[in-house]
Amino acid sequence: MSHSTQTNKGGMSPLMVVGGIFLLLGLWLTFQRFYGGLGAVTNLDDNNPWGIWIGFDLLCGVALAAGGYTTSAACYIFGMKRFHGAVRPAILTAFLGYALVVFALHYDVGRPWRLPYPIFVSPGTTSLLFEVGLCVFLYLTVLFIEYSPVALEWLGQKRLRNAVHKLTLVLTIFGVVLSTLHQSSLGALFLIAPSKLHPLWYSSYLPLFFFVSSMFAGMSMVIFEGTISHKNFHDKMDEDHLSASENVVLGFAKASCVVMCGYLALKLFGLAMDDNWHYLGTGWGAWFLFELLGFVALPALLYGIGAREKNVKLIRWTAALSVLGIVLNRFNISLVAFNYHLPASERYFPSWQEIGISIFVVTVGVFAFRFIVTRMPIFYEHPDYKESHH
Amino acid sequence: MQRRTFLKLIGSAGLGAALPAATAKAAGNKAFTGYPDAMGVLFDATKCIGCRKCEAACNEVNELPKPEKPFDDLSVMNAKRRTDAKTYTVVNKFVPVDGRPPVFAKTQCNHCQEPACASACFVKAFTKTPEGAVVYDASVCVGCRYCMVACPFSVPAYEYDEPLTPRVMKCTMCHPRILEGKLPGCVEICPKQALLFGKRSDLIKTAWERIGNEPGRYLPHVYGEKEMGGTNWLYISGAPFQQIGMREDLGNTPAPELTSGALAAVPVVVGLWPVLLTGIYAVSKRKDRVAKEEREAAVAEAVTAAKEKAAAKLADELKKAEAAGKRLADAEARKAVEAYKQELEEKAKAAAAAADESGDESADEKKE
Amino acid sequence: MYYTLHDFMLHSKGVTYILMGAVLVGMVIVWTFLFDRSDEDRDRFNIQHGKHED
Repeated sequence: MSHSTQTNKGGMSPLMVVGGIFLLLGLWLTFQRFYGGLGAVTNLDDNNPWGIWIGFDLLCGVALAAGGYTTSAACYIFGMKRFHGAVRPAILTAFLGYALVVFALHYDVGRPWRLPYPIFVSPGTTSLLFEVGLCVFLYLTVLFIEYSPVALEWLGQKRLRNAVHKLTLVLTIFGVVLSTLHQSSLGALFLIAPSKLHPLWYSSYLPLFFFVSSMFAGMSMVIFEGTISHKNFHDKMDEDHLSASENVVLGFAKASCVVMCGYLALKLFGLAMDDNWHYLGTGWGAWFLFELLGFVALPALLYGIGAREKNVKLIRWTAALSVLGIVLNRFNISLVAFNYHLPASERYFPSWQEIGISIFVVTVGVFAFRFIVTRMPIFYEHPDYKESHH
Repeated sequence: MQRRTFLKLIGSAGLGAALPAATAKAAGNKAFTGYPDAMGVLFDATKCIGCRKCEAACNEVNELPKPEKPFDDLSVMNAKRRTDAKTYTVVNKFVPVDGRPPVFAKTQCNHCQEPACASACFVKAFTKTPEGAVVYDASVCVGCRYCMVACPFSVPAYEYDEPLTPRVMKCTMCHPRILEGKLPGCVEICPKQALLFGKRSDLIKTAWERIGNEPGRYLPHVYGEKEMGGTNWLYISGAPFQQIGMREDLGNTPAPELTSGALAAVPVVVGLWPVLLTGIYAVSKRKDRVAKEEREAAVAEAVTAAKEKAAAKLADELKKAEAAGKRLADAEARKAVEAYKQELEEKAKAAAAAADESGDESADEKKE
Repeated sequence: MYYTLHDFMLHSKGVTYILMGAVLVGMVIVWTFLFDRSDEDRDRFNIQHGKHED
């Protein structure tokens, strides 16, 4: 796989080798996980039932795959046609992101073959996790259909492709509804544990925090992914995509700046509503401010400057910072500030095997992305379907 | 309470301002008081001597694997323990006041009136039975461990070393034995009557009677009467509960109420989002159409203007040409007329004598 | 008759989820009903009212 798909010259080969090693390592860990159980490869215990497979693979994975709904909504619902060339990469990233989230969950849950149970066998409708599961299942289906024209164009299935293409608007609206629901529900998962999550992070606004932050997470990820794609697949990109990606960088920088400001305001209101000011003076408060000022306020400022001065390079670096900020926030809620009351000896730190599986999952994603963009019309329009978008 | 739930609702949808606070209550104005005949256990910390017999009985009744150290080894109590996949109940030793005798506290599932585990479970694996026990059904369990995240008492444990059929493990209040009319294993064996089995409503009365009868012995707090909406396992103690390993900061909100706001927002999003998004789409599409029409109108206008300009120019040219032509024609015509006039005059002179009228008429006709 | 809030919610949320599914499907139907002829209709309307659009 590694060398035959090589399209650009030089530089990638060693990376492909590293990727191959990660894949082999992942397969070995997979065997260990399903042969010895969760206890054999994870540091999870009865006090810390959720580790980085939830904190990173699920929470970060879903947040960073939010670019699918933000980009397609901007283009098809809000009518920002100049983003059109950026929709397909965003949809592909989202589709792969969600597919990998579901894939990673197979490692985390005890009996993965029962993952359809909540929907088809015994729906526990009082659970926020039911809501998440249902929406992720439906949204993955929606993303698959949204993505399918790409594969159908590649396969030459003209009639089917045109039939699916007609559904674009309905799918986009469904996508936004489902994303609103499950992005917020991921935050709402923690509402049931007020006694375990540090008050600075626990808030009745949690669902709103997760939803709002998913918007700039998605947009930042689109910019970030675009930066990497430009380095590696520039030869694949057509005029429409190149001009769109320029528009997207500037447009999303501006939008992210605005949304981040709104997020900061909500965080501030959250502090005031629960009267949590006094915690700010503690060590937890310093960590909270570090997250909020360093990874939300600072990127908001940098995005603002970048958008004003049309400084694409600054925006691209800011996108990376914002993506890191999202990861930090999700880690804080699910791992760092969770079980804050327990003594250090009972706290969780991931095992190298857990980290290995997470890297394995990301590597699978990178390989799948590469496989698709080097073959299918993602960064360019298929010659048979030019001018067909509305 | 209203404020809290209301905040949760707006928190979950961002649409709160438009909604009345009452909808945040998952059950409207309904009040749920739990199964009337639910059983429970009252644990009296002042009576427990830390003999671990309840642990042994629990292990036997539930057919759990034997522990490394036998149950009569009391040294294990020197470290704080929690329930795990092989242990449904543990007794911990605390020394709240140095130099005073230790106080023992038994931990197991508290069998909440409104169980957080059941509320969190996305496959309905947990059931609150009319008999008071919260029981778990492994046959539907996916193993997501959200119940363990949700439980405020950190009771459920997981079979992490089981590769294919891991289960969540926790005390069942010996539900099968209760159905048979027997006592829970731990209650039956307790040599000091530190555990009392009975109807929850009766146990609360008994607990307060004991507190009332011996106010010096007990603190005026029945742990579990209100905590997290109430539990079927109740505790009274002479030492503050915080000092015997029990959290007093859990609050009295039943677990389902913690999430009811967010859950109530779900249908709001489903109902309103498509409407709003369709509206935004219509606005943007209309903007596009107006822009297109304006563009077309502008093009049409420009075309008309150009056409008019061209037409005007043409007309001007024509006029000039006409004028020039006319001038030319006039000159030629004048010449011709002059020549003709001369001819006519000559003819007229020649025919002067003949008819005057007819000569004039024909000349007029020819001129035209 | 529900004795616990949890049982009540299990029931009421279950019904709500089914209704949500129905509403989403219904919205698609209404949407198609409302918009699939709109282009022709606008033309007809515009012709009747002496405007035209290409």
